[in-house]
Amino acid sequence: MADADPKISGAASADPMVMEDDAAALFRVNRRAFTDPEILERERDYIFSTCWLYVGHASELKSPNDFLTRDVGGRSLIFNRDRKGVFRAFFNVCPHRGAAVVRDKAGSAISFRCFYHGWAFNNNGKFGSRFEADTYPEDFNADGCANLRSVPRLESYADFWFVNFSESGESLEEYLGGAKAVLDLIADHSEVGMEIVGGTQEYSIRANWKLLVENSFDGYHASETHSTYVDYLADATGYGAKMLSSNRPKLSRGVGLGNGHAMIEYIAAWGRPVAQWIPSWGDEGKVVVDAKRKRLEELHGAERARRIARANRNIVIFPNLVINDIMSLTVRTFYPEEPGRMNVQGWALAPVDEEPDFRRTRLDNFLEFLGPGGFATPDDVEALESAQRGYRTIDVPFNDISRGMRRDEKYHDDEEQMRVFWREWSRRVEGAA
Amino acid sequence: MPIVHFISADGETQDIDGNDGVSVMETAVRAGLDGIDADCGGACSCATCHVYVDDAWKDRVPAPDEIEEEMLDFVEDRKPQSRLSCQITLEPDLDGLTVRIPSSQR
Repeated sequence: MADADPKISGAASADPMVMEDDAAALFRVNRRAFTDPEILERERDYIFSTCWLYVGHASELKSPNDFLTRDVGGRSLIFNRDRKGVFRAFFNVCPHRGAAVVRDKAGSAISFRCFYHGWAFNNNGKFGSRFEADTYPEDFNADGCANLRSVPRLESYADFWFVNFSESGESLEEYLGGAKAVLDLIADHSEVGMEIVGGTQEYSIRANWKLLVENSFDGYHASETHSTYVDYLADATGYGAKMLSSNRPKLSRGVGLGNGHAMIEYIAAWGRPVAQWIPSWGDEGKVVVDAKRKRLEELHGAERARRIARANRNIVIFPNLVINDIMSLTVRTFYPEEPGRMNVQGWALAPVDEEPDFRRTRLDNFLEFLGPGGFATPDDVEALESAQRGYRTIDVPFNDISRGMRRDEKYHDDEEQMRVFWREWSRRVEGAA
Repeated sequence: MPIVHFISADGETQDIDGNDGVSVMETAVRAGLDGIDADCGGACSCATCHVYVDDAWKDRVPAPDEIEEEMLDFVEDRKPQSRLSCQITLEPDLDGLTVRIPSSQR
């Protein structure tokens, strides 16, 4: 690595991807981490086959026999509730020849039947086809070889369901660590529960998946990348110059939550349907928001209520679950098909008991800011794809992620949250632990 | 809305509201009734939704087809009243249908 800055030394490998020098307050990532197929292979083995990965929200399976199919960590899965209502996850692959057993995105079914040869399965996974004597040995399915294969581990926290493709390892709760408290905060948006609303946003980006990790909690890029949206919002919200003011908000921090999870938290001038009013919502809207805030204070005390109502937070639960609790509440995950291409899935989360006007405001934001055809996501996609194209220029080999390293308390527009991600990434992929 | 009376092997009766066009099997499974496993979910390929149709109804329920006859060879304690409940579709004329669940499927 002739081009490396001699001050910077990697942790374990002779050709390290992640280089951190505390004394010099420098943090660099080799751009090969975004382009090398061998790195992606290591990510598949040491991240996507061993970490807890988000599969879906409990509200997506409201009743027994509900199912959905979803690609998670490079596998095609059935996530469903059986006839008794038990949550289950199966590989959506026929044990017979491998065809997809369920071809619908979602539905309600007491059993699943492969379209190829008709092998049928109870929605608890049990093989359900019988054949005349001598077709198969009598003990053919004694070892369960003809049942739908269950995902090794399926666990939930605060209605967020995760799978793990490794039989052993820490429990979901141990894995989530400090991220549990953030999921609790989100659950506290409503005292009757949260639900995924409407359908799925699905799109591809011609960029490495880790660029979207960084972008999802990048408090530094917004006013530059999304100037069109910031200008529009300044007009639409009636905040005008205040929206554009560069004064640092009272709350501004970037923190690690353990095990590679991290978030940024900050106050912003935009409205939050959970309980932050803006002038464009009118006097009627203010009455509703004030009542919501009062109820939050009764339930959680003034300080926690303020944090729920006013603080924005962008979280990455390692490796690829993003929760953006901003104007709307977005759940997003993504997976690399290739080093330079990822598929993205996003959903809107909302209080079950939300008033129709507020629900509309929330979904407007989900569409107009975060949607693939909205004001912001196309900006981000262009930035990410531009960066990915930039990595072809191998003569400029490193990304800089040093912003704010010298500060004791990191701001939301520093890059500590990204460093937290990269340290865990390096530990897993480069064996730096 | 046709009602189906399910009599368990222990002799207990459960009355379940069904819908026209839905099978007797699915009516039982959706209601969470024990004793009707119906692992294949209605594909007539598992023989785990076996019931005995009450004699009073034997002429009013359409007769089994050839595939159902072959699958019925798999069931324990086959009797003249034996049917696969996935192959009986509810209709207004079947309001009050009574079926017994075999003891092998309790």
